[in-house]
This record gives sequence, C-alpha cells and structure tokens, in this order.
Amino acid sequence: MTSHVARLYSLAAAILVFFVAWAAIAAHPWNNHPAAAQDPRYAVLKAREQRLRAESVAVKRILARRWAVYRAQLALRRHEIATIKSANARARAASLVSAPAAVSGGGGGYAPSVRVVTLPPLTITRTS
Amino acid sequence: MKTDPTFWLLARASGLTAYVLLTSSVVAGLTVKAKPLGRRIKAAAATDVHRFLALLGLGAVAAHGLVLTLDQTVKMPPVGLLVPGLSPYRPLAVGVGVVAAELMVLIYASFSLRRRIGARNWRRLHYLTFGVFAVATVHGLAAGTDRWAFGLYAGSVALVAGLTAWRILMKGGTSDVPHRNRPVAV
Repeated sequence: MTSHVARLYSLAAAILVFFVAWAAIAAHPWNNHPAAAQDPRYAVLKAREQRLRAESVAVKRILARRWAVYRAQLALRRHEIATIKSANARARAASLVSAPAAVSGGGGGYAPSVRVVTLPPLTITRTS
Repeated sequence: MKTDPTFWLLARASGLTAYVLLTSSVVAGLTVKAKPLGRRIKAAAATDVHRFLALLGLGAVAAHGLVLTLDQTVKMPPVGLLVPGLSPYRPLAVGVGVVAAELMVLIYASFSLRRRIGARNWRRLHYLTFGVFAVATVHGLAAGTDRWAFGLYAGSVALVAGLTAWRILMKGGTSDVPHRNRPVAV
C-alpha cells in the first residue's frame, strides 16, 4: 500500500535533517580543539606547521654554526691584518729612523731638495 | 589546497543524513514486526515507509559519494567509491562505508526480487540490514570528522538495539503471520 502522505512526510523530514546537519556542521557550535584536530585540513596544516618548524630549527642551527665559523675566521683575519699593519708600521718607523742616516751627506738630515732643470724642447720629426 | 569548504560541508551533511535515513528505515522495518505502538501503525504503511526511507537513504549515500569526488579536502577518486580500500583517505574506514553502501543497494534491490528468490531467502538476505547498519556506524565513527555526532550514533544504535530486543522478546508472544499473508510492497 503506497502512502503518499507518509512518503511526503518522510521526504520532508529527510530534507529537514539534511539542512539541519549542514547548518550544524557549518556553524560547528560544539567545535573544540579535539574536533578541530580531526579535520583533515587542520591535520594537514598542523603537519605542515611542524615540518616548517623543524626545518626552521635546522636552518637556524646551520646558520649559527656557519656564523660561528665566519666569526672565528674573521677574528683570525683581523688579527693577521693587525699583525701585518703593526709590522708595516714598525718597518715604516724603522725606515724613517734609518733614512736620515742614509742621506745624511746631502741634506743635513733632511730629504734632498728638488732641483729644477731646463730641458731642451721636445721636437717630433716624422720622416716619410 | 582549496579554501572553499562547500563540498566538504555537503559531503558531511549528506553522510549524516544518509545515516539518519538508514536508521529510520531500519526502525520502520523493525516497527513492521515489533509493533511497539500496537495496531496504531498499519504494517503495510510501515513497510511502504520502510522502503521509501531506504530509497531516500540510498539517494543520500549517492549524493555523499558524488560530493566527495567533487571535494578537494580528501581527494576521493571515483574508483575509491566503488572498490573498498582504494581511497587515499582512511582506506579501511572508507572501504567499510563502501561495503555498507553496496550491501544497501543489494538489499534494496532484493525488495523487487522477493517473489523470485523466495520469502525465506529474501528474509535471510534482509537480515544483512543489521550488518549494514553496524558497518555504517563504524564507518561514521571511523571516517567521520564530526565528533559531536557521537551522540547521534549512540542514540541510533540504542534505538535499533532496543527495537531489536523488543522484537526478539515479543516474537514468542505475538502470532507470526505466514510470509505469504504479510503485506509486501513490491
């Protein structure tokens, strides 16, 4: 026996259930952390966040190690430069001290004076 | 990843609707024999509603599968809806749901084949409905993402279990009408 009224009520109830379920899911009024954790999109995002955090920690560790090596090498290089500079300064000072002795015959302790001479004019001749 | 959640929401809503309709169909089917409300519900009308609810449930299951193929959240291939275990998302839980849906189709088709396969075989096949209901419950709990719907599953299981117990208890007390005299909605 086909009961059209009962079928109509069943169909209406099914549609009502569908829209109520849709509204309840969309509004997620009972949403809390465990429920959100079960959402696959949330799980994917969570896994991605953890992977990025791990990568970030690894990158920071590598960067810190490289930076420490760089700083050590920089300090060593600066030390070398300072050593060389100081050696140069000592050499320059030593040369300044010893230079008057080397030229002491000409200038009485000073550098030799500039001598101005007159040279013959420069002439360019081309022969063909 | 697409941010539009429309298909994802539709898939979940249609899945829950299919479960509610399956529960309603099972309850209507149990009502035919258990008669928890006495003679106020006519067996023929209850049988008709039972079949119609099963058909609506199948429609909701089909919509559930169709929308899942359109959704990008879990990326369900069409073959994953037909062959159990081929779903990339929770293969076991989804495979259980696929089995339940295919058994639902088989049992619904058996309504039309009742005269051909015989009432006894039809009845044996129809007992599979309890298995379908149990498997659908497992699918909803294992593959579903709406934990708040646990109450719905628990209530449905309690209702079906209660009516089944009622039917078993009342079976000895009520006269079992011969199969050929039972109302058959074909």
